[in-house]
Amino acid sequence: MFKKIFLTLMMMSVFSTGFAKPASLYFYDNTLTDQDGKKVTLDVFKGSHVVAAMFYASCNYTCPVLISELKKMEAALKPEALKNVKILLITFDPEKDTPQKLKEVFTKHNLAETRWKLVSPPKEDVRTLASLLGVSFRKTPDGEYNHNTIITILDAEGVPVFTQEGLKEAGKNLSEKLNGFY
Amino acid sequence: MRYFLFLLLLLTFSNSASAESTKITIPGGILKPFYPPSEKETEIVVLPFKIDSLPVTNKSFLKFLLQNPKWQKEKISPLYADPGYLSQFKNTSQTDSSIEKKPVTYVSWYAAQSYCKAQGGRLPTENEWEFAAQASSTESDASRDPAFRKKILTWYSTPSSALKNVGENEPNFFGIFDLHGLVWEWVEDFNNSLLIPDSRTKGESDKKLFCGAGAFEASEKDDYATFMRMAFRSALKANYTVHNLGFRCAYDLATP
Repeated sequence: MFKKIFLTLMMMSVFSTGFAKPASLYFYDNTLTDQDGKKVTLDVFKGSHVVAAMFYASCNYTCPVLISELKKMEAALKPEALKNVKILLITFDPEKDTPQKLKEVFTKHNLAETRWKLVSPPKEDVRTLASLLGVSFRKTPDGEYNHNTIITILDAEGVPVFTQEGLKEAGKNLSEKLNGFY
Repeated sequence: MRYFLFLLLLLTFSNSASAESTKITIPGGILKPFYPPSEKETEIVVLPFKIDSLPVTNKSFLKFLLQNPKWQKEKISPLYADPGYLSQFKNTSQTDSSIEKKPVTYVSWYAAQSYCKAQGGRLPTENEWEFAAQASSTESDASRDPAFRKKILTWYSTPSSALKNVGENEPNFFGIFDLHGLVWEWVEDFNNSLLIPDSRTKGESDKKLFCGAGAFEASEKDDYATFMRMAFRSALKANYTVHNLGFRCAYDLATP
């Protein structure tokens, strides 16, 4: 009888989001490379709210829309929020997305270097980071990445506090959420 | 007397055959998935690779834990495993001989990956796993054999009871044990399927949700077992631990 209850409880852990508070993503502490070629860790913006997402520089479909939604979010943040919000984009493609390539994204989209960071993870950690952010993806034979769009807000300690699924009204939803914290 | 000696010899060898995991080389080939990821990918090249003949056991995993304490259940970050992690272990410094030879379960993708990395390997990709698993005991590719598919589906529909030890069933054509019939297994790219939450609309993907994903088409409707595996994998999150989900490692060809 006890075994049955025990087993059921264990089974429940599959479907629950966990009994404890979600953990900080900053427990992942491997080195990433930013758009200036600088070595950083995931907690580079610790102390601020961080809006994190996966992308890749040669993505011509949803990724430009992702960036445009994040800029809409920036424009809709009230001053206190804007001071304490940073944006972190992690590439699926560390081989192609060199620091130079990442820097080009800054120029192309006119991103504020004080608020945005584009980083490249170690090749073997791409799926780990995607998994930490709840992102599913597949690399296609022609080098593109099929992926869902999940934008996560991390609090000052790196704990996920909000997840935006899809790009529809993403900027609006994210800015409303962030403004609510300040 | 001779007969007795022969029997003894046979028993000795049959025990050692499945006791330790060996690295099996799988020659390359073409995988023809029942559920191709796209129209262009109905035939997928699988390069040669090596794979464990057995699922990783509790015994092997315990050894890894002793050498890598941060993966012990008392020390692991909740980021990397849910609360069910290694439920079968009372604590990680104590080995329980009754579960030693069983496949390790209640293990997250992060932990499985870390174990394989420590062995100089990695998790198999989904294509590699499926390629190895389409072999019956007599054919390297039994994927289109209805009897083989039925056998697997029968296992899937049998409620799981107590776990058996690894290596007790017949090996497949390549000499690999337990790809079917024991536990589900993690693969490297378990979250490579983009199943739309509401997929009642056939064909058009929600382009604002996914980058490039297409419709989920089947080429042959009667490999339900493969479909179940894919559905199971896509329901997993990397930190999940499940009572009947384990893993084995793969290695690049050059690995000794």
